[in-house]
This record gives sequence, C-alpha cells and structure tokens, in this order.
Amino acid sequence: MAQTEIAFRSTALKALRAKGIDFCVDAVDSIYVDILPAQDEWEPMRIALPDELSGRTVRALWRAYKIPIHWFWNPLMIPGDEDENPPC
Amino acid sequence: MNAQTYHFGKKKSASVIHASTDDGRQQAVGINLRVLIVPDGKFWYAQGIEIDYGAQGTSVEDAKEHFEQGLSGTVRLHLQKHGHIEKLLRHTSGEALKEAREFSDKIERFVQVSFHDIDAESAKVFPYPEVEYYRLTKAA
Repeated sequence: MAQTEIAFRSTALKALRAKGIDFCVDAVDSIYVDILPAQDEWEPMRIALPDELSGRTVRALWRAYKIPIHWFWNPLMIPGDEDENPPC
Repeated sequence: MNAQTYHFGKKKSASVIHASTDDGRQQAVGINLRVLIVPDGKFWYAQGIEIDYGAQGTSVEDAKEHFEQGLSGTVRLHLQKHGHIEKLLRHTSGEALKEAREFSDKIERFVQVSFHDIDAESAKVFPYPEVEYYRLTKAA
C-alpha cells in the first residue's frame, strides 16, 4: 500500500461484519476493538483501530481474518449495511 | 498455584509464563519478546517479532501503548476462549524480520515493563516482565 493511501476504521468494522466476525468496541477507550470470532478458524484479538488505519494495520487484518485488502479502497464492494457498533 | 513456561521464536528468543491459581480464577501472563517499531506512512507501527501482533500509533510512544494494551487484551481474550495462550504464540510473517535484518544497524533498544492482570501472589513467578523494543529510525 502506498504511504499516501488512507484506510478507515469504519471500513474495517464493516468488513468484519461482512465476514460474520463479531466484535465490540471498548466502552471506556473506544479506540480499542475486541474482535470475537465464533468460528474456530479465527482467533480473538484486541486491536487499536483509530479513525485512520496504517498500511500495516490493514495487512494485519488480512493475515488474521483474511479481510480483502481491496475492500479498504473500494468499501462499496463490502456486502451489508452500516450497523451500530456494540460496546464491550 | 500453577505456572507454565513457554520458550518460542527462532533460537527460543522469547518466552512467556502463564500462571494461574489452583481454582483457575486468577490468571497472569508475563511476556518477554522483541518488538520492532517502524514508520508506517504518517504513523508508527509496533510489530512483535516472535508473536504476530502489531499496533499503530501517531508517535512511537502511542504505538507502544497501543501494542501493550492491545496485546494484554488479546491475552485476556485467548484465556477466555481457550484457557491458555498457546495459539497466540505464532511467529510473525517475514516482513518485520526482513526489516529487522535490513536495518539492524539503525535500531534502538527499548525496555518497558508490561504486566498482564497480575495479582500480588502470581507476580512472584515473573523474572522478566518487560517488553524489549527496537525502533527503526529511518523509513525504508
């Protein structure tokens, strides 16, 4: 990913929903998101997701949950609607 | 109290102690690993070397805080789901290792204490409750 490109937290959360992976947002410090996959193939993770995501954060989400990187540049390709983000 | 020690990573360069009370109600994890901090666009990124976990921040200190808070929370989630942290002990991909080798002459060393839900009793079994940080001082 070029350094000038910017990905967004809202896209990451929408992508998690589209993949069927549950998560919740820390009620005290909302930058932290607890990713809580019910599927055995994925492991849980607490991750800092600020409004803007760095290239390495995007690649970490790909490695952990196979979230397609091109979704971050074309969020309209992500199936599903915007939903509220549940607090932890 | 029960305690399990894990040595992992290439050359067993990292280690973890997982301690729990006999009833399993209180658990503590002490992690000793190396973290490479690299510029990532306009951000900084802290990447675990022996554990594939990373966190971004707007500054080096911000990235370190997000790494420590995030890894601590990830440990908690693994304990809740599995009762152990063995599935967390996965070596990172080649990207961070390649950078560490390539810029080995430009790294700085950091040492920082990181406790993980430790109560007074279980803290006694942790001889190394710190995270070692290595910072890449120039962008690739």
